[in-house]
Amino acid sequence: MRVLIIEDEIKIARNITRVLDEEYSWAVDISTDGEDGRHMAMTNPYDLIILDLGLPKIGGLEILKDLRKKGMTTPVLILTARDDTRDIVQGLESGGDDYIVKPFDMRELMARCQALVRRSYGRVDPVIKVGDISINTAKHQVIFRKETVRLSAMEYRLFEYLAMRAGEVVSKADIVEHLYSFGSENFSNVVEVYICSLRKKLGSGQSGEVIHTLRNQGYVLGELPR
Amino acid sequence: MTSLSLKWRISLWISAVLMAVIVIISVVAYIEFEESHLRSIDRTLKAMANGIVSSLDTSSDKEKWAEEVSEVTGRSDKNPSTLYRIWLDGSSADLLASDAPDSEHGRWLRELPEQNRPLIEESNFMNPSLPGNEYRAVWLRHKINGGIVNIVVAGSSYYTYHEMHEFLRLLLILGTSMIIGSVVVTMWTVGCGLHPIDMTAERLKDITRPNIGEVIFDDKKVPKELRPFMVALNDMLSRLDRVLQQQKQFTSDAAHELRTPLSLAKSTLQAAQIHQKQPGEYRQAINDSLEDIARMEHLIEQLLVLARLDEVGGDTAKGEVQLDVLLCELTETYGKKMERSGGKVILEEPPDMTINGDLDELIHLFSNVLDNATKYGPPDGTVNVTLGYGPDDYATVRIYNKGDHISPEALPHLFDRFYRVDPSRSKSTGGAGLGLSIAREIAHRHKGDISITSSPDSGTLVCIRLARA
Repeated sequence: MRVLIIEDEIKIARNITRVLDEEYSWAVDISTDGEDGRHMAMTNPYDLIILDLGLPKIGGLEILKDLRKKGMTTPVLILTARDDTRDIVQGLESGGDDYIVKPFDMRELMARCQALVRRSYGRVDPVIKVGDISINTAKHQVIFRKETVRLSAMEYRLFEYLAMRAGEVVSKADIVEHLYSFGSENFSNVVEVYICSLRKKLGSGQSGEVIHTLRNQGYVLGELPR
Repeated sequence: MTSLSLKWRISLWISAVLMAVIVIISVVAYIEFEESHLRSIDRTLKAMANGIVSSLDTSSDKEKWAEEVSEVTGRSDKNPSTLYRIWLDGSSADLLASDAPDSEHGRWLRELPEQNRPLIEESNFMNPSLPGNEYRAVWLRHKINGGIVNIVVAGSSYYTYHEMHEFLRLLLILGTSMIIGSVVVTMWTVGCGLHPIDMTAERLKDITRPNIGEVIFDDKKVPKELRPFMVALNDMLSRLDRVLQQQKQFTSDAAHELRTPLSLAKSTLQAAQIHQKQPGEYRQAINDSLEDIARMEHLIEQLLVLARLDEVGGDTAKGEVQLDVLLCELTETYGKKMERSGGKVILEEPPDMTINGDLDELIHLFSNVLDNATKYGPPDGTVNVTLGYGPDDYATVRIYNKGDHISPEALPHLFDRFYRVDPSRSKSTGGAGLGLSIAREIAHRHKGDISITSSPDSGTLVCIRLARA
């Protein structure tokens, strides 16, 4: 999953990044001003945007409205010090999906981020089951035939994304866009390496491969679409 | 004593005045009316008496004379209300009388009180009290050949008095209804006049903090006299509303400002707590948190200073302050800070100057301005400070830095609380936008002022004026 944090307090942004990375293995981009943040939000397929309202150059609400006007459906979590009910209502009515007032609890923020991303992929249950594999997105746990499988951060990141979109064809470009933050070394051939290692760790399903490769199209986790 | 309502007081006053006027008019009218009636009765009686006198002189035949007299007086069996008696002085026998001596009227005619007796050829009027009717009588004495003849003619004044009583009753009814009418009209008028006040009071009752700015008293029905009151009330409410809004804004800004470093520290500590970390990372987290706490401390201190300055009547502990010495010390302190980045702070030959002020507050004032000058100017630039006498009884301190200038849009807001020219930059410098508003408060408390001018060519000049005495 790839998250964008638009927050002018760089320390807060860094702290959230650290936690999302360590706990969820999510890729995080940070923007500290409105103009830059809006540009990033418009040009990248983020799974979640954490948005401050009081931003230099362009205010958070304006960014939010612009995003919605462009038809972008990315979940937006507003994280701000403004605690007035009017602000909260306005934030949500402008297209925000959730609202957290500073000072916030990091665990709550994480849980809300998780829930928003899950919902945006149409999942209600944090536990996704694909054949013999169950993936608990909240606990960051993958169980294969009743045994916990240890995955590296990048392997988990990739597997979680595939699991969210289980049964769909996911292109390699999609994977790359959702797995790597700006500035990280996103060599596209690395995706194959991770797929390979995942197949090894999760073995083959009863009806063959768990992760199918469709030539020139991408990958599918679980049953192939008809 | 409970005071009567205005409505009643005005009504009572008006009815009292009205009553007095009506009573006076009634009394005067009654007296005049009575007098004119009596005069007309008297004239008739006198005419009758004179008629009798002339008949005395002309008639020789007694029978004919009696007839003439009853013709003159109009006395007949049908009209027994006129009484008369004619007799000679010294004789008890009547020459002529309308009533028999044993009748009631006859008795009165024969027992006239001596004090009413007129002089010869003169007449006297009386108001005899006879049973039944009111009477008016004239007694006339006339000299004739055979001696002095007394003539008494009495006529009933019943109709006169009856009319008088009717008139009095009319006056009473008219007066009373006028008073009642005036009371009703007054009460109604005063009630109408006072209605806007009741209405206003009713509306004032409903004013609470959330709707204080919405209630407006500009009804068209308000009488002219109450308009200034309504206008003043409106003004007061809008002033209160403004103050409340400012207060609300200030509280919300202060909370916001405190929240930022608080959430920083909290997020740092929570991020450190969630996962096992290296000792170096923990140390970094602690340092970061301490920095944020220091920022909070600074902010709270500034808020407290502002709160103290805002206190009504919170007078400064004024004493003699050597402004030149104070500026010397402060420029040195800030000069050292600037030296690290290659800049300097220069105080240009200050004259000796003592002003009456609060040392702590003045330190606060100049520190805030110098802090801004050193922070927002170029790091290797020069900050010039001058101190001078004038204008008038003021001391003027000018703090000037060439370099960074403030945009013309930002200039009017510099002294607003929590205003920051560039919100993102203040995060790195740690300011909350309170320094200059504190500085201005302090300047005002020293009967002075602070102003800032800025342009790209000449840099930024802060001018602080303080009253010397």
